[in-house]
Amino acid sequence: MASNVQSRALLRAAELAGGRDCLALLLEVERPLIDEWIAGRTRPGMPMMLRVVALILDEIEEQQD
Amino acid sequence: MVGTARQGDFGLCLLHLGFDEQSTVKLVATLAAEERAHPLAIVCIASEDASRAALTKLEAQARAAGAADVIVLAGFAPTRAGNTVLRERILASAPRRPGTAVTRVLERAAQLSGGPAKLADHLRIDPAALSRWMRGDEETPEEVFLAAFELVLADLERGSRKPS
Repeated sequence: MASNVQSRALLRAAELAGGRDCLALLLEVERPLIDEWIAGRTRPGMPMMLRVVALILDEIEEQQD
Repeated sequence: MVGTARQGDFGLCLLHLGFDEQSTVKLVATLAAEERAHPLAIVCIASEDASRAALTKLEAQARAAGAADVIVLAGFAPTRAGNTVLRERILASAPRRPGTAVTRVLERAAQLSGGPAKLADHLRIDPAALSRWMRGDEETPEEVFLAAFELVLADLERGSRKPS
């Protein structure tokens, strides 16, 4: 169960992107890295995290519009 | 095309590198050289018809002319998910909404907390420092950003849609 904020954010971003494969494509990283981040085995760096956060914020703002 | 671009305050221009690639590359150069009040991001879409070598050359030409991105459609599945990824890739080139991801998170967290003062109290940080971070005057410490984003994410996960 992913519990840290990075893992949960990545799970949410993967849902928004249409799956983990799509998120990997979107973030231009290998799919196994997405799995590692979501599992909490490693964490994305801040620049990557900010891209994930921006994706989620865009969705929140889109829902509010 | 150039005339239309001059008339509107567009942020994103999507061009298909299809029928006459070299004319399109020239169009990219013309649009990129235009003086505008706000930046115009030009994204070129290439179909998968051409050979890989031709696409590589075309991409280099388009980027040199000023294209922010060149996207080859073959890399995207013809599915809803593929369309979502393609849409995000295109929009990633568009000028960003005001504020960075960090300041947007702080603003959203402040909304959810009932204002910046309450957010500062919740995060146990100096309200004046929070103001500077929200304005983007200073870099927000990573732990503060993540704590604020935790609030935003938790709200999203709860599915609550509080009025902003």
